[in-house]
Amino acid sequence: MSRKLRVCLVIEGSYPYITGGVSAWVQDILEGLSDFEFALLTISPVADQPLRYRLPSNVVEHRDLVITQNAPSDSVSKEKARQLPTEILRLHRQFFQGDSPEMSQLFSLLPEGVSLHREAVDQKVFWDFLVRTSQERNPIYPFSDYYWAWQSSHELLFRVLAAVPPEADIYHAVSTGFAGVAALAAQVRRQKPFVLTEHGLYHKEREIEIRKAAYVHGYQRDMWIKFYSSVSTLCYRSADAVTALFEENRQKQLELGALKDRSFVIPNGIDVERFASVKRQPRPGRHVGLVGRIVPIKDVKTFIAAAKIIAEEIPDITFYAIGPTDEDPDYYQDCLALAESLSLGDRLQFTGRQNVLDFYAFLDVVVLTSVREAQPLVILEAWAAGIPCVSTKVGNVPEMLDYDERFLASSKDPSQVASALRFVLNNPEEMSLINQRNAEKVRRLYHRSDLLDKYRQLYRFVRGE
Amino acid sequence: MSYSKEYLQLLDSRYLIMARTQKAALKGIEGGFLPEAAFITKGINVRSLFEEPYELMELDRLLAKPDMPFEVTLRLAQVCERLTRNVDKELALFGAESLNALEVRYVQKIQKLKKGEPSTSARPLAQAQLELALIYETRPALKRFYLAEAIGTLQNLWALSGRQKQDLALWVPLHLEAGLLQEAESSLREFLLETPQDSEVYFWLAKVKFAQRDYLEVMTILAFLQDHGGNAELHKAYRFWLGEAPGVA
Repeated sequence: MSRKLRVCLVIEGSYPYITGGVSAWVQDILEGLSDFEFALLTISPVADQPLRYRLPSNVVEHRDLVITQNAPSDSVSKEKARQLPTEILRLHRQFFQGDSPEMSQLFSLLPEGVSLHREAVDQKVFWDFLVRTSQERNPIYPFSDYYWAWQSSHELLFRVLAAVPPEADIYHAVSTGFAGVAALAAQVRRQKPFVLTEHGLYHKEREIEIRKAAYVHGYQRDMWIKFYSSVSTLCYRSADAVTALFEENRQKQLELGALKDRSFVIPNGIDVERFASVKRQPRPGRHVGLVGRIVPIKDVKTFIAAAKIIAEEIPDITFYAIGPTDEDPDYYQDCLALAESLSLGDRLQFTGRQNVLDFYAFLDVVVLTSVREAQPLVILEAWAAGIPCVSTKVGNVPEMLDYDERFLASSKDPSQVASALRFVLNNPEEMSLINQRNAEKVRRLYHRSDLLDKYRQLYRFVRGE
Repeated sequence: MSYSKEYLQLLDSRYLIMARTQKAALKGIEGGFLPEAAFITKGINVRSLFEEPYELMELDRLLAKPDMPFEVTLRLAQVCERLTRNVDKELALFGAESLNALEVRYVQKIQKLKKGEPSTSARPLAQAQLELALIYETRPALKRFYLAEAIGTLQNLWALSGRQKQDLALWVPLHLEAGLLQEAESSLREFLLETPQDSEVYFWLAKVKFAQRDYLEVMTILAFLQDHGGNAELHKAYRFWLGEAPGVA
């Protein structure tokens, strides 16, 4: 009997520690591809985070790389040690000029398990480089800022390069960034295929974070943005296959170097039957739900404000915020206070983590007020269950909703969200037809079995089968 | 934005920086690695934040400042709000994310202050709540919520340590924004019962009466104030309100 193919999923900052769309996707892949074995290399900011998911039995190994901690390091031969500084300096230049870096030479000199995180300052050649580049690029801002930005980026990158991933036949990164670099390193060092899947666009998300971070200023902002952009470019260019959830993101990946014949759109998929089999049990009154974590990115306050507008028009309506409340307690407290102040009382309920199927049995509308999304699973789930959705215009949502402005709202605009809700609630006959069309669309385009088949094919493709 | 030839030539030099602000340009000139043209360029190429196409780099630079004056924060929020409705999805996302960042900054500040000692944290808390309310200008439910929170914060403080005249600078604007004009007037009149000649309280009362469109009463109060009290600064303000002199009210 032949051995099952083993795929190492390389995941940064999500599964199995954080719930959300990417984590749900990973869980689906793990459970759905039971004909494969999986190993996990997770990249985390802190050690020993509690698991939010039960790892399926086909997950044979899980290693967690804590990116903020130094692991014990092996040493390299004297010959390699002599060549490494030149190579590292070349790499730094490429990264910070925003060029597409070339890392194969470095990988050949730097084996797994060897961390060079201290090299940034321990050798004179690096110090001189640092001083000179600071004078050139950062003359207005303090050298200390430049030093720490340089040191941090160097340390993070070299800790990832030192990682020893689990043995596998394919390395599949679920984002670019550090997960992508770890998978790329495995590709070069172990001569195994590297698959890259992106839900959002990692470097864009980091760019937004850096832009709003008060502690990164001056040249360091540009430096970090270039760094992440270079990492993405490197991953797109090097991967044996790159996937995006929708065409618009694929085009952006192509612009940054992904190869056309190795670039694919594989949309999200859900277990359509599971959601379609929800037995609808309408309850008296009207019921509107937001399914998601209670965090700022979901902009739950806009949902609450829209709820207030609609609650004044429709007396027997109840709103539900269905999702975990413990990720950002401050934000949750603020949401609670807002709901209380708007006298929504028990017409707005924060349910905490729940089985959404119980709610899909009676919800009349599902709302998304997110500021950022890729291709939200919750819309697919609701559609499969026969529930209409209204949403902010984020990610792939406008295309999913056929650019129909009746169901779309600008971000952070409660009155537009309320208008969309009003339309759905007041036009049951038209919505009945639209619901059928949406359910059919999910079955045709977003079926989990298609998603799984496509990844099976992709794994064969990258192995040249 | 156009740059002088001299400045552009600089980009080919061994220095790889471009000053983003006049202050940075001055520092660069002082350090000898930027020409004077850098300052002149930054000095004359001044555009309104509201002017399209929006200067994303400038919005970005402001967004990264945690301690910018509230007036700048408010303008920034207004521009970002416009951006959320932009047909370009990238710009709409930039606007929404930026607005979210500003809101999160305030929510964190508010929650931190709520955990503080009321005698010291209540005023900055009410101030932060008022500011966030003003950022939510186009979202009435959210605006009303934070105004009510701020009023509640001051009421709690007064319940603890008695009514303080210094709080009127928050109390009155909060009530004006919330449209609670009668309540504002009542509380000011209560202050006047305790200190009948207080020119500062009268001046706040004039503002409330102005909001009530009782212009005759405004004139009466200001005329009274001109004759009876206040420092030079307040007198300047009275004259401005009476249309007698330029100044700041």
